[in-house]
Amino acid sequence: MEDEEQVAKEVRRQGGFEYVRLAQRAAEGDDLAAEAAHDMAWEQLHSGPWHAVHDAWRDAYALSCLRLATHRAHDALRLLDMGLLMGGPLLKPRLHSAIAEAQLQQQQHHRVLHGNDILDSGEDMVDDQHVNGDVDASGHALDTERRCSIASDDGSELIVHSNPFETHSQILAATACNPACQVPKSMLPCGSFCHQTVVRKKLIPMEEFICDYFIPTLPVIILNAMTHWPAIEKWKNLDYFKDALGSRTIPVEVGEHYLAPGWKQELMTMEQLLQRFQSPAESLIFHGIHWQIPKLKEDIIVPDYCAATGGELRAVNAWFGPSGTVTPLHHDPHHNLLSQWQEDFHCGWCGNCSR
Amino acid sequence: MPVDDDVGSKPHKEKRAKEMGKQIRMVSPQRVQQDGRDRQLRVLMWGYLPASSPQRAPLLHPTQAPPPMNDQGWKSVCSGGCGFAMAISDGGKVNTWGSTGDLGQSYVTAGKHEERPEPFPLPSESPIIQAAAGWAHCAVVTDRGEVYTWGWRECVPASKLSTEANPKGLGSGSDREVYDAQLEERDGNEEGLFSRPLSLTDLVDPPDSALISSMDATLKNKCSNPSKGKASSPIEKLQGQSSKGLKAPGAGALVEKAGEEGLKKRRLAIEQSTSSESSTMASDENVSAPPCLVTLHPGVQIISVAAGGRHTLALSDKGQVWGWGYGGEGQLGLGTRIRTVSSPHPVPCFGSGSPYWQDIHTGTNKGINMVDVAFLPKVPGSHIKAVACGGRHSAALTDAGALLTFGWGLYGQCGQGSTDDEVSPCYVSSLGGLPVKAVAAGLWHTVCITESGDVYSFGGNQFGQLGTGSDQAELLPRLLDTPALENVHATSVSCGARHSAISTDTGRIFCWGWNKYGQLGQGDAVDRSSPVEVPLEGSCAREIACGWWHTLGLVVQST
Repeated sequence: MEDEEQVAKEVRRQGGFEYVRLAQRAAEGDDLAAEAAHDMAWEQLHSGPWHAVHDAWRDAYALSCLRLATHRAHDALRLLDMGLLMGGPLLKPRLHSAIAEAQLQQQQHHRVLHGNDILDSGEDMVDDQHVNGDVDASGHALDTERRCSIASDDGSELIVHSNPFETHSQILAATACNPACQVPKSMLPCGSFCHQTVVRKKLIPMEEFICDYFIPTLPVIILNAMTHWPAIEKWKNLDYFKDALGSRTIPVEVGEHYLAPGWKQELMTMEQLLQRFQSPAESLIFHGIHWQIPKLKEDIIVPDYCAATGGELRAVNAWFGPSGTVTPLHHDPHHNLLSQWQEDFHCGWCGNCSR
Repeated sequence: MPVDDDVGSKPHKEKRAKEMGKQIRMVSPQRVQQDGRDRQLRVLMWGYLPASSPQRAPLLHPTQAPPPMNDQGWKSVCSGGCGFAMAISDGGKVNTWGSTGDLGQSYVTAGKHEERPEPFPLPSESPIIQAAAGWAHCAVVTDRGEVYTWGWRECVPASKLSTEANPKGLGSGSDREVYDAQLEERDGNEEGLFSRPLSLTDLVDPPDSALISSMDATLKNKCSNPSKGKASSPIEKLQGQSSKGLKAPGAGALVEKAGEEGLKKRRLAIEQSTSSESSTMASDENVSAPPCLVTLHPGVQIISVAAGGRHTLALSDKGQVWGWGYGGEGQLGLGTRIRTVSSPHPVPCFGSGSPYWQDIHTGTNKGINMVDVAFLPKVPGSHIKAVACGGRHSAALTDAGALLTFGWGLYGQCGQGSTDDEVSPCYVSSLGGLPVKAVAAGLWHTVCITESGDVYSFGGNQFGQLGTGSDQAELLPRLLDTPALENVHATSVSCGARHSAISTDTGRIFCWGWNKYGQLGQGDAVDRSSPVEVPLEGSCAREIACGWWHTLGLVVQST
C-alpha cells in the first residue's frame, strides 16, 4: 500500500532498516515480526526528547499499531487507540476505520454473549458539574458580582469572550471550585472581581454580537445557543458514553489541576474513567475528545459566532470531567468561545486593558 | 563456579572438525592449561537475532553461534547492533550474523549473512582489534589504529559529503541541506572545524568497483571506475596524496585556524549512485554508506570505538576522545548541541586548562570549541581509558577511575542528580573516589563497575534495566547490593537498549532488564528487575557484549 511504502521510505532515511524489514514481514502475516516492529517503533518514539522524534517514527508507530491489531483481536481497540494517541498523522484515517470495524465486531460479540443490546451499567448518572468560582455548599453562586454564569433553565448556555491579540488583556479563568478549596480573595490580583457582571443575552444576532461584544472586547453569555446540539439529549445519560466508547483508551489528566503537585496523565478506558468519576477524591479531566473520537464531534455543532473573527477555526477542544474540576488561571492566545452544557460552571475573567 | 580448563569431549571435537571442514588442533587438557591461546573460544548468543533460529523466534536460551568462516575460532564479541550480531574471529576478521539479510540498505549495515557468521568486507586487510555497532551503523578499529565505519549515513563521516565545494559533484541535495543546517547550528567558535571542506572532493576517484562488487550486486555503483586493485583504491590514493602534504584551497587556512597541529579533514567521497535497486528499497537517495576510513589528526592511533544510537566515539592510544555523528542532546560532549558533526572532533574531557589538552594543541586553543573551562569541576585523571555510547548519551572513564557522562539526561542517565542534558563531559562526583573500571550505556540507563567489583547503575528503569529491584528511575548512581551479587566480583559490563549484563572474575554472567526477546537468557520472556545468572552449562565467560535486543557471551569450553 502506498502509505506503507511512504512510511518505509521515511523510516529508512532515519536508519530504521531493521524496522522496515520487520514491517515487510509483518505485512506478509508474520506475527512475531508485527510484535517486534511495534516494539521497535515504540522504542524509537521514546529514544529521545519528544520534540526530536522524527515524524517517520510516529508514522511507523501508527502503522505498527494498525498491523499488530490485526494479529491481536482481543487487544485491537487499545492498540488502535495508542496508534491515534501517539502515532503520526499519515495513518489516522486508516486507524479510525479500523477502530470502527473493531467496535462493530465488539458489539456483535457482546450481543452474542449477553443477548441484548443494552449493557447493564448499574451506575447512577453522575452529576457532571464543571464548577469554577466561589460557590456555597448548595452549589449556587455566592455573589452576583463575582458570578459570570450560572446554569440556566434548560441546562445550556454559551459563554463568549473575546481576546484580541492587540490588547494586553488577561483572561482569568476559574479560581476556587468547591467549598473545600475556596481561594481567598486576598490571593487574587488587586482589583479582581470589581468589574460588572457579564451580560447575559438570549441568542443575539450575529451583528449585535460583533458590534456590541466582539469588537469592544467585552465578554457575553449567550443563552439557548446549544439547544439544537445532539449532545443536549445524548449526553444526558452517561450510558451513552459507556456504550459507544467504553472500551476506547483515552488520556486523562489526573490531579487537582495542572499546576498542582502530583498532577499527571494516565491512559485508561472510557469505562474506567466513568467509574472513577464516582470517586470524590479524584479530579479527572479527559481532554480532546473530538480529535480522537470523531463520533462525539458529531454531537456538537460549532456555533455560528465562531465565524465572527473572519479567520479560521483554530481548534475545537473539549473537556469532560466530574464535579470539582478546576482550570487555573491561564491566558489563551486565541479568541475563545466556551460552551458549557452541564450544570454549574463558574468562571472569572480579568480584562486588564491598562497594561 | 570454578574455572574449568578441560577441553571438550572427543565426539564434540570431531563434530567441530566436520563443521569447520578442516583439521583442528587436538589438544590435550594439560596443554590447554599451559597455553591459554589454545583454548577454543565459543560464542553463545541469546535474544533477538532473527536469522539465527527457526521461525525467526527469539533465542530464549544461550545458544552456540556457528563458528566464523575460514577461521579457527573467536577472539572477541562486539556490542551493539539492532537485529544483528558482531564478533571478531581469531584472524582479526569482523563477522556479522543474525540478520535476515536481504538486499538493500540493511545489507550494507549488517551484511548478507543470515544464520552463518560471515566476514564483513572491508577496504583494508589489516586485522581488526576492536569493533562496535550502534543502532544502524558499525565501526571497527584495525591494528594500525585506523577506524572504518559504515551503515546509516547520518553516522558515517565520509559520506556526509558537502556539495559546497563542488556543486556539480557527489552528494545529493539532502546532503546539502543537512550540511547547511549544520552550519547554522554550530557554535561561532567552531568555524575552523566545521566550515567548508577541503576541496579534496575534486581529487577523489569514483568508488572502487572491486570493492563494490564484493557486496551484493544490486548495490553496484553505476559510475564505478574500473580499478586495478587495492593499490589504486580511492582510500589509498587519498592517503598517498595527503602524505605528500597536499594543499587544497582553503586547507592552509583551516590548518592555521585550528592550531599548529590542527585538524586536516579529508573527506572521502565514496558515493553510491542513486540507481534504482530492488523494489523493496527506496529508489531515492541512498541512506547507507559502505565502509569508509575515518580520518583524524595525522598520527592519531585509535585503540577502541563505541557506537551509539546515532553517534560514534573513538579513543586514541594517548587517551584522547574523538566524536562524530549526531550531537543534538550533547552526546558528543562538545559543549553545545549540534545536530550533525560530520567529521571527527576532539572531545574535551579535562578542559583546556589541563596539561594534556595543551600538549596536543601546542599551547594554543584557537579554533577549538571549548566550554568555558573556568566553571568545569576538576576531573581526576589525565587521559581517558574507556568510552561508551548509549542511545543518546555517552560515558568516558579517566585513568584515575573517574566517570564522565554527557548527552541526553532526561531519565537521569547522566547520573548528575538531575534530568538535564549534559553538553560537556561531566564528572559523576557522587561516585567519589571509587575507581570505576568499566562503563556501559543503554537507551535510557548507564551501568558501571568499580575496581572492587561492585556494580552501580543509574537512569531510566521502566524495564528493570537498573537491576535495583524496582522500576524507579535513579538520578544518581545506585549500588546493586542484591543478594544475587553478593560475593560476586564483576569485571566487565555491557548494556543493550533496555537490559544489562555483567561478567565476573570467575566467568559467570548475570543479566537483568527487558527480557521480552530472551535477552536475559533465562528460558522465558519475563523481565527481571534484579540480576539473574545466565546458565552457561559449565562454560566460563571471558567477555560479554550486549546488542540492542540480544546478548553475546564469549566463553571457554569446558566439559
